[in-house]
Amino acid sequence: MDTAKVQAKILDVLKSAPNGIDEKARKQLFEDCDSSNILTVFNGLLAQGKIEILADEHKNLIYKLKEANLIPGLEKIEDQIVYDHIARSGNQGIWVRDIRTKTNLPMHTLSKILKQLESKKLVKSVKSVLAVKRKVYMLYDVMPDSRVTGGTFYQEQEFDVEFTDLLTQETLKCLTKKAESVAKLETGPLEILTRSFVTISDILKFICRTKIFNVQIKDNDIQKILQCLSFDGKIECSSRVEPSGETVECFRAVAPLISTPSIVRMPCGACPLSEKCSLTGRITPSNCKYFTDWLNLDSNELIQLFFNQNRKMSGAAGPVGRPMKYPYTLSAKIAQFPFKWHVNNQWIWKYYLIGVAVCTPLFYKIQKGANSAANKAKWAESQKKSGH
Amino acid sequence: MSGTSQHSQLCSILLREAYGDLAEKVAMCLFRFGDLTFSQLASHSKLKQSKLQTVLKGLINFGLVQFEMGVDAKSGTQSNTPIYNLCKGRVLFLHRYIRGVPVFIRKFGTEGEIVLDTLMKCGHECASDIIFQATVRILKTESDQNVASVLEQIKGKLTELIQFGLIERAPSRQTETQEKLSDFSTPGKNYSLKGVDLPMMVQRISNDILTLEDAEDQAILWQVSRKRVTQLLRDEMFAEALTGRIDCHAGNLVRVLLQLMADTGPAMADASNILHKPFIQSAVKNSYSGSPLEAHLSEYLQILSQDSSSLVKNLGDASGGEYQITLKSAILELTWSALEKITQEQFGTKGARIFRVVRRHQFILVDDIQNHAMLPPKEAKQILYTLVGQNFVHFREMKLGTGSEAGKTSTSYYFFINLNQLVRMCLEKCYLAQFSASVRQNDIVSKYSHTIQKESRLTSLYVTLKDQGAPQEQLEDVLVASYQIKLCLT
Repeated sequence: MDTAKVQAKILDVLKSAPNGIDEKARKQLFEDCDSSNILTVFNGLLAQGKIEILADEHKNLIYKLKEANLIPGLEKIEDQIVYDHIARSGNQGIWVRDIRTKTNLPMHTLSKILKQLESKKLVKSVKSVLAVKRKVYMLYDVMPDSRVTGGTFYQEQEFDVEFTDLLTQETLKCLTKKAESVAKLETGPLEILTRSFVTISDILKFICRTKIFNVQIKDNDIQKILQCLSFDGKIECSSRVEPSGETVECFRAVAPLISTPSIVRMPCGACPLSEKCSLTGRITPSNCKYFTDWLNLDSNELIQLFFNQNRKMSGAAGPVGRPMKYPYTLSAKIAQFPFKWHVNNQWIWKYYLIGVAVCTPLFYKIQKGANSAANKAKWAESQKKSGH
Repeated sequence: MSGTSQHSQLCSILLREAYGDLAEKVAMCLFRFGDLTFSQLASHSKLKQSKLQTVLKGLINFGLVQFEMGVDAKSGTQSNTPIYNLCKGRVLFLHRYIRGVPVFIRKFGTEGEIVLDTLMKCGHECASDIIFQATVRILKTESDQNVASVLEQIKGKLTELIQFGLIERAPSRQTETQEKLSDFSTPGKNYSLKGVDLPMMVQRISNDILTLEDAEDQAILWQVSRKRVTQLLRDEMFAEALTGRIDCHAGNLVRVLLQLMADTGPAMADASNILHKPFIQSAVKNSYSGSPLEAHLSEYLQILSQDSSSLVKNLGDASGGEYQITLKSAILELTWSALEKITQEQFGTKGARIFRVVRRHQFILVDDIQNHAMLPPKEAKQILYTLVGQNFVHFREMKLGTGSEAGKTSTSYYFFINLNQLVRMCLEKCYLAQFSASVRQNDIVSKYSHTIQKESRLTSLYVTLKDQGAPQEQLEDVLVASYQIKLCLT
């Protein structure tokens, strides 16, 4: 069969099969043609970019007609291939490294092609919030997906804290206002509870009425904010059945189950140095600055106040009766010496005193006996006898 | 078995403040070394036997130390040597009791609180002594009150406290064998005191005799019921939680339900017996007749059963409605709320948010935490790692291989909260905080003791000068000086 005729037949067959034909179908259709000729024709069509060969899930070849190349200026096959990969990625975009893996093009060639495509405004690069340093490429007219841009809560690929906080505040305001307005009703508690619930659409209407936000806010965004508020413990979620039979999620503001525990009202509750705190060492409860601030006490001020008052009362020139902060003089050292502690905790002093107390009368008795007149006389007599 | 260091420090300081150094020494020997015989205790505490006896008597009187006959190791029979052990719960109860004072005042008035406080200070006492001492205490501050009416009031309060169960029978001193408290029948709601001679007490007080001897009911001793006080505080905790969450009527309903639970079964069980609605209705009618609670009882029960506190569970509609108090799940919820509040105070709202995210999704990755918490990635990671550093959140490493021999393994870190460990950590912090506060208090009092004495001397001087008719200028000087010292002390 003539090459041109074979080419035309192939194109007709592929046009009638929009999903393409597999290898088996190809062999059946062209069994009367020379196989080497067929393959040459197919390669030629591939080179021209009129057909493409794909692989299905079972790795079988599928021959498919390629859509006409409507892009002017992409003469080189490499440009076309890169463009096609970018087009296929849709609104998710494709990373440079992924394009390189798929096309096997060297980096410098790929960079050149991408620059060319960008200059022709066929593709654009977008920074992804999932990986800040990574740029993804997508077609110029395609809106990037929220997973790439981050959605409503991201501004220039960065999380917009101010916007999120403001939206959270307004959402909570809506729920709190509803709860407060319903609490004033003179009905049973169950009705008050039921009426205090609010749906996502009600919250959206409330926020739109405030006209604070220029950005279009969707139900999903409010859903995320409400989830965030439930993680803050400020709201609770329930579901109710609407008159239409549809089950909708609804939310209401709740008070916390318990008030602030006493442990965190004290400095020790949130102290970062509690593990190092002990009776001895640098950090003790006695010299803790956090305690001082909490008790609103400044010991120097107190002592000064006391001295001023004492001076006024007694008319004395200086302080009276206050122990010295540091014992500079010998008498101060003696006055501040912990005699009692030493006597209580060291056995030697106690037993020394006991020994002295026990021995003193004994020694006195011995001394008295030894120096008595009778003993002296006896001694003098013994000395005389010995001839001294 | 010894407790943790924070626990032992706290017990030590509580015992020293309440009962003195000797009692603290003996009790802490028992705390550190566990069960000891008398001779072992004497050698550890280094006290003379006579002194040790006196201290032990006092500690047993206050219920801090218990004893039982030991078992001979060789023969396995009971020996004649008593073994002493310390009731650690009773030591901490000294502090917990103070927490309950506002509740006692609210429920039983100032007189009721004075009766309880008098009994706490005595340990075990007969009814006549309790009434007498409480009356003397009230008359010291309010001397113009009629003695007989005060005595009558105090007797009524004591009876009320016994009927409520806050005061229970204690073993008698005069019996030779150790009586078990379980041998006594629980005084019912119709219990009335016997053997209390009020006219004799009136006479003694009128004659300025401030001690009571040979009371008729000396053999019947009473003590503060630790279990009942703990139960009352627990009930109040639930009632306050639901009052804040819903309204005061819901809190009152919770009180009624918890009382019914105690009446129909063990008060400290994980869950109560089934409570039928008519039963609850009659109890509410007795306590809160005519209130909105009685009118909207069904609605309040429905609200409580749907509330996230999980205190009340609706089991069905038989007999008008069947309800059950699920204490275990309610206590778990309250514990989580407390931990979340602690996290919020320590790490801020964002820290608490991340804590709740990890709590709800146990074993969660960092990226998922950041998505759920709606925080910038860097900030979320910083706060999370701070929580991990402070042991509020834990993590587990999971290595996932690709399957091939030389393949890469990726490590993922899954974050979770170990509730038991976290609760234990917070408990230790509470012990440390209480201990530090006591140490600082003692430090300040001892440091400024001369200032405090000066202030009291100035006050008595002012009264004396005023009685003597001193000139106004002198009185003003004394007043100014006293005021300045008060400023120093505040």
